[in-house]
Amino acid sequence: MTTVSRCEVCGTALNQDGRCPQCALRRESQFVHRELVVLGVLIGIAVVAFLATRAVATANRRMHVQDAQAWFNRQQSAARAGRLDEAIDAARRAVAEDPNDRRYRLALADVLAASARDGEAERVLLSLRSEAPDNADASLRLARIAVRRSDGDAARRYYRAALAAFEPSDMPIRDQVRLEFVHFLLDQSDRNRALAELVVLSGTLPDGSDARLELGRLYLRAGDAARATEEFANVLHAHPNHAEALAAAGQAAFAEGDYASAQRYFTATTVTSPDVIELRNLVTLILTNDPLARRIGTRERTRRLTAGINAAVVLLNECLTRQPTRNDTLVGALAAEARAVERRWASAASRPTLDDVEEGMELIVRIERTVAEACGAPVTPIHQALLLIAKQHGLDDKR
Amino acid sequence: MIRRFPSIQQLRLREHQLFLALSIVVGILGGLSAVLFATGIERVSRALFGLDPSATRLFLVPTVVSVITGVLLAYVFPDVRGSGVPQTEAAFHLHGGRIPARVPLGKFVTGVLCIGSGHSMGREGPSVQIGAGIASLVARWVRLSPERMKELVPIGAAGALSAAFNTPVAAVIFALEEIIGDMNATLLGSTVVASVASVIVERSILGNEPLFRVPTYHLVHPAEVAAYALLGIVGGVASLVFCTLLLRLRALFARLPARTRALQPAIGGVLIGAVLVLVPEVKGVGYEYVDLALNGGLVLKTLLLLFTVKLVATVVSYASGNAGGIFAPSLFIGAMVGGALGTAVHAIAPFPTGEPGAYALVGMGALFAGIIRAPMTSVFMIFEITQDYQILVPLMVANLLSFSISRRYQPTPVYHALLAQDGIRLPQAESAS
Repeated sequence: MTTVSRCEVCGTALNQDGRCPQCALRRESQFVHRELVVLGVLIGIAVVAFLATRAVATANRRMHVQDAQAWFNRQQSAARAGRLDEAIDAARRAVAEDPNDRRYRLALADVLAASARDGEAERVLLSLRSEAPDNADASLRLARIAVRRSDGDAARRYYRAALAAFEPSDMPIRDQVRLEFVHFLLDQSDRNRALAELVVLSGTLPDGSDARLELGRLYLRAGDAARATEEFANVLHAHPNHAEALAAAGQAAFAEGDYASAQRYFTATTVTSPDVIELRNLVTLILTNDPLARRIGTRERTRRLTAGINAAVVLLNECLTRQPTRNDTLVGALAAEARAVERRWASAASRPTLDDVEEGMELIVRIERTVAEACGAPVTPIHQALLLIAKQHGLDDKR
Repeated sequence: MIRRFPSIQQLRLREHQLFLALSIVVGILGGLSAVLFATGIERVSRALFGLDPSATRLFLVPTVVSVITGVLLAYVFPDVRGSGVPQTEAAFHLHGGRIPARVPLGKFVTGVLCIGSGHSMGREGPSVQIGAGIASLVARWVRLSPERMKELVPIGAAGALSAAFNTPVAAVIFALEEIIGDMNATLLGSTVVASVASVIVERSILGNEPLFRVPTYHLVHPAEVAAYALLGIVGGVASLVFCTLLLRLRALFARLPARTRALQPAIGGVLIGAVLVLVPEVKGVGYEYVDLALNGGLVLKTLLLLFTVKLVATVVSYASGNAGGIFAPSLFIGAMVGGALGTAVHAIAPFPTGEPGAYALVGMGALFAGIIRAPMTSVFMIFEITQDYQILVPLMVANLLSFSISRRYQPTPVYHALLAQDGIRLPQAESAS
């Protein structure tokens, strides 16, 4: 009879290698039970640790945000006081404390640019723009840096990017930026592009505003006097006695050749700047010396014509005096022709026809041009007026 | 009658499944500890220095705090001086991964105090030791086998480093390259899992902000490779200077009487306080100035000054026995020397060159490779920081040269040399570099 060995603990028959299968299973289950419990506890600790760490990190972040604001305030006051190095240092600290707030990097770029450190400012802005390509503020500042650096292509690129990035709610700011862009384009003599931008502005600026006045001036500078007149009329419609608008409207009318309107505007305005006074005097000369003006008597027409020819002849004689060698055939012929015309119309009984007057004006133009080639263009107002009169009537074509 | 538990067999976790689960938990805990450590340093620094400290405060804070930490490091937490990386390596290779519980706690407390009070040291090395210590603690609690406990240590280290730098790949590479010393380690999978878990947790708390905001740099002209090679040579020399000074000054402190052990960190504190009065930029980790150098915001004179002072300050802080690492100072010094060389090259080179910030970036990697002797980690770390391939070629060139020069004239890596000074010899580890 074989003896079956049994476990002393539980009485179960031992297996062939002398181990109790039930006790082994119990130990194993305890171990499995334990490792699950420990793992569960560790996960619980991890969860609690996560929540605690997140709370601490959040509080820390708030501290950084407050510190950043404090440094930003210091930067603003230092910049206002002109302490630029201190402002730069404070701006850098604000950025270090809170790099996510773009205001601080923009402020840093501004103060670097104010310190003539455009290269560093550009790097700050490019870094900002690489994170947010649609950041209008960064693009605008980069455009200004490019303008200072005379990099026209870059400036155009950044201005367009800035204009495209503004939100619809930022329309007033976008209009200002567009005006700035137009100034740049006109400085670059890019009139066509400038006109295109001005047309856009015409549709967005509020009526009667001073911005319309600036718009009109820019149209004038771009060579579109007609649109300029419209803009000034827009302002005058809302503010009939706006001195600046009246003066500008006079300039626009002058550019269009509407000297009568120009005189009305110049008379109404109270602006006494040198260019306005000069234009007003010139307009007066034009209106009082135009022999082809309507509703003037024959005597007055004759007087104006002979006065114009006389002034041209005086100019020719002055030129010949300064340069006797210029007494060539053309000049001699002009002088002879002028003397003949003067004699013809010197008689009180003479009644020049319109053709005669036009012929006389053409002679004046030829004299003025010949003198300009020989002795330089005259700068006296009467000669400017004579040329403008000829131009107004289409008599300034070269023969 | 004994109850049978047939269902328990079905539920039993295989050892490797448990290990994987623990890797995730350890990675998460390591990551949280790194975040808490960095946050703690910032809070302490802010509390001690205020927003804009005066010269008096700059001197007194490290001086006074170092007296306290000196006592803690001498009598309460004697195993937590210095970086923590060499101690972690020693625990892994010599002590079966056993790290006493007071080590991560002590490292946390003294690290926060030392770095927060202005010592020129890094937080990544201490994070590695804290993460490794947590892993060791967990392993003992779960009663893992000795082999598994040892293996969990570098996993915890990788988890912590992943969160500290926000560079999960570099953290894995570092654990394999430096701590284990074997790039073919079988722990790759678990290390990756821990690193990923850690960085997920870290980013869910801190967001996905990069450590440095770096412009996109690239090689501007093929001849620039020569300039970057020069940077590698300069970086190698700078690495040698740093390591030599560190080891010699540390040996000098070690020769002082044992009764001065509690005072030595305070001596370092006084010296650091004096330095901070003159050059406060070298206070603590200094990443904001690294960021400036990477973005070309420092002039040549400042770059050279910060390079010199930071090197000296770090050597003093570390050698005097304070708790903190040399990762961050390596990056700082590298950025400054790179930026300085880049500024000079940009001014005088006959061919087009990149911005000085590009050289600062490569300089960081070169010094890291030369000092830490982890070139693979350096490459991956810089790549993860910049997320840009284009700087990798010059980075690898500079890294290789810096590493080669450093190894040629100082065969023993600095971490091993530091251990050797404490009478600890690690087994020779094959490095994949």
